[in-house]
Amino acid sequence: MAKDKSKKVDKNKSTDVDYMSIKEERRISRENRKVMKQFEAVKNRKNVDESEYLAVMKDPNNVVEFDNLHTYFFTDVGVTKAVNGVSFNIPAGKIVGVVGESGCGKSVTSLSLMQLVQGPVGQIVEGSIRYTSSEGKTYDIAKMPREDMRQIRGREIAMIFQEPMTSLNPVFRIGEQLDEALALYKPEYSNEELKNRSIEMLEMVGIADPDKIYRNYPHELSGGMRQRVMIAMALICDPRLIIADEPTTALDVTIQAQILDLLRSVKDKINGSIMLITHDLGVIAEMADYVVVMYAGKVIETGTIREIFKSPKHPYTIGLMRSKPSLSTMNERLYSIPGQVPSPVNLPDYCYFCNRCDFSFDHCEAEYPEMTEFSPTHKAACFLYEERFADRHLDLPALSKAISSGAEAEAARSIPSGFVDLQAILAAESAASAVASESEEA
Amino acid sequence: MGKYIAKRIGLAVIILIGVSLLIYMLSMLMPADYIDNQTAAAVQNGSMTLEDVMRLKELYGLADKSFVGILKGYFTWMTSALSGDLGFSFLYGRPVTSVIGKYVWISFTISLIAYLLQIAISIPMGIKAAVYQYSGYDYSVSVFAMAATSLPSFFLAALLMNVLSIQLGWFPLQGLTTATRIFPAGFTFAKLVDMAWHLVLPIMTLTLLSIGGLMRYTRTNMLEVLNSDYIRTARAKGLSESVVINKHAFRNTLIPLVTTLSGLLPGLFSGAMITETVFAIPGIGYMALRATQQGDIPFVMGYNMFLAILTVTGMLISDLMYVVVDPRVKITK
Ligand SMILES: Nc1ncnc2c1ncn2[C@@H]1O[C@H](COP(=O)(O)OP(=O)(O)O)[C@@H](O)[C@H]1O
Ligand code: SF4
Ligand SMILES: [Mg+2]
Repeated sequence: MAKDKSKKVDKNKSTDVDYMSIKEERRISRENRKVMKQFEAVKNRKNVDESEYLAVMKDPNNVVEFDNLHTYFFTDVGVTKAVNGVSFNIPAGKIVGVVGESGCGKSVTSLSLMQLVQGPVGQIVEGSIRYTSSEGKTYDIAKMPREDMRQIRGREIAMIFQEPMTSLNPVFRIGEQLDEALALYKPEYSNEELKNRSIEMLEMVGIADPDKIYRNYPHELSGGMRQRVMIAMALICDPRLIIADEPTTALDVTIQAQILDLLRSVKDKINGSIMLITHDLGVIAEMADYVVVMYAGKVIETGTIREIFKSPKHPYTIGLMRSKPSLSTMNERLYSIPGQVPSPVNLPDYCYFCNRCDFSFDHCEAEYPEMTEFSPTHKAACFLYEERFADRHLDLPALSKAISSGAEAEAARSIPSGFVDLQAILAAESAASAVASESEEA
Repeated sequence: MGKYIAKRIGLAVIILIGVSLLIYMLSMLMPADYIDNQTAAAVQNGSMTLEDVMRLKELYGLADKSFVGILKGYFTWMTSALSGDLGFSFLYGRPVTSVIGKYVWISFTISLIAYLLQIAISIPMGIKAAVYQYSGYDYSVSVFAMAATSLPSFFLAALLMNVLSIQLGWFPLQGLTTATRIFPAGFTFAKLVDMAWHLVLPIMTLTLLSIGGLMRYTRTNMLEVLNSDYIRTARAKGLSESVVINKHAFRNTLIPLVTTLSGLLPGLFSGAMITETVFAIPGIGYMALRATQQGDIPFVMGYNMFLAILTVTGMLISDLMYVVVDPRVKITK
């Protein structure tokens, strides 16, 4: 019902967003208030029977399944469709990288999973987020009342944010903020035990002087140190899933590498999954097992790291790869995808990438493309690969020869963060095949 | 820290010197002073000549209105003010310091009670309005606060007098004690009750006038804090909403509130001129208004200097409170 309403808002609006009469603005804000109130009421219910939000996983190996998630912001200029039908899975024990230009809905997707979308303006209006807890029960987080969601935050799913400088409360000491998180999880602990465990965690994330840091205020630490503290805080309750939303974007390059190393070692320790959000393909190449590429609130390509780096399909994914600096293209001008992301308030009803796509053809403006499957794990939403257009012999986008002939997942892992080094990928690829043929001979 | 305070006090002294010079000049330039007012009738009926008036003025140092004359007068005033002597009030016939010392306490009592009520009412209201932003509560509280703040004090006072005193007869209309009752000298409980009864309406007026501003201030600050990243972190940890709001958010909202409110403390001594006058409460504000109307220059000077000192002290306290409540603020100089 809410969705119908928001659609109506869009249709009634003149095509020119810049001009909006006061009357229209009032009507939008009145309708928004009504919709927001309904959603808030549902979320604030108490003593809801668990059966209302129990769900069943499509694949029991997954920890999280996003299924057609829609998260909208009911703002005064209209409905912002920040997340507009996102589906992907996070398998147990894997790192899933989510990439895309800034503003394409990565953060809102992850905040939806934590039920932390800025209310009452932001609401999950449709779809489900299935999550299997450590007790083996599967919940639909999109339907979960706020009160019950608290049991999942922190102890089941923890989050590391982009801005370490502002993510810690400035008026409490580091120790207090860590103890507080742990106390929720281990209410039986004494203050002494809480403190010992917190200091242990600080040590684990590579803080040299944990006793001192424990007593410090956040402003007394550097950005890198604060991010370490945030990681310690995320780990302190042994979560099954860690969401890292651009954990290194705000840091210096050298510190970035350290924090990524830390995250990788963390993953081995907790034996859980990580949802790693970034706009940096280099970081993805280094860390992720699976890649989800987002554009304007939708997933446009998913695949294993090998599939995405070796044979990216969607013109946007290829554009992203071409726009990364690399050794082999060092002397050339850096490529950037021309044009801009469409406004999430006025999305077209055809391929969102159309206005920027070098390969678009007549049908691209007719409807929004469905996902085409290339392998059980690899899918992309682009008409170029649909069966029905096969006889038109369309030009297909491809990485330059050097890239497309290489790019194995293992090779990708050895890429230093910050850029995709195509030469290294190539070298590692040939080495890998040499090893493979040797072992075959033996 | 000690060095910082010393520096700030030095600065305050400079400000006070500037302020006193300004007030002195303005007072001297008032079109009619106390002597003009007192002798106007006598001059009119001829029992006094203008020369007599000038002689009187000469005697009180009010005759020379040239720039140099005013400066000379200022230095004379300043020298004695530094030794604690603010001169003699024409109107009240007593030293200015003793008039202030006598009437300031009733003003302070009224203001202090109104101040405490204001804090107790508007801070919880502002926080609730921020937490339930856009709710019915938020809108109605905002409208009420805006309405109460925008009413002029004399109007609100007259409204309360009309309804609660004249029509309903719940509270006395004016004054500090019932004029028709005679109380024995010294302190008695009956007298205290009678005074308290008389102070209800003035205190209500002052409280109603101030809660709007403080409520809006609390709401704005709380909203800003609630939108900050560390509140999202607190929620992400799984803390309950009450801990998030009452501990993490409130502790941060407290920083601007404590500094602003502590800065207002000295101002409690300054008196509420209009409200005291409307209710005929003999507080310092009421006395000052009368003195100003009569052109009682020594009292006007003394009272305004008193206000200036209170204001400067308030600013100093406010700055120092920052160091106390915000761990990020450190004094390095
Ligand atoms: N609190 C908010 N209010 C309104 N719109 C928002 C809010 N937060 C995010 N958005 C919108 O959602 C879209 C996606 O944002 P986000 O998920 O933060 O992008 P990113 O991929 O860079 O993390 C943006 O276009 C933004 O306009
Ligand atoms: S569907 Fe058309 S416009 Fe969209 S990405 Fe594919 S080719 Fe480009
Ligand atoms: Mg983001």
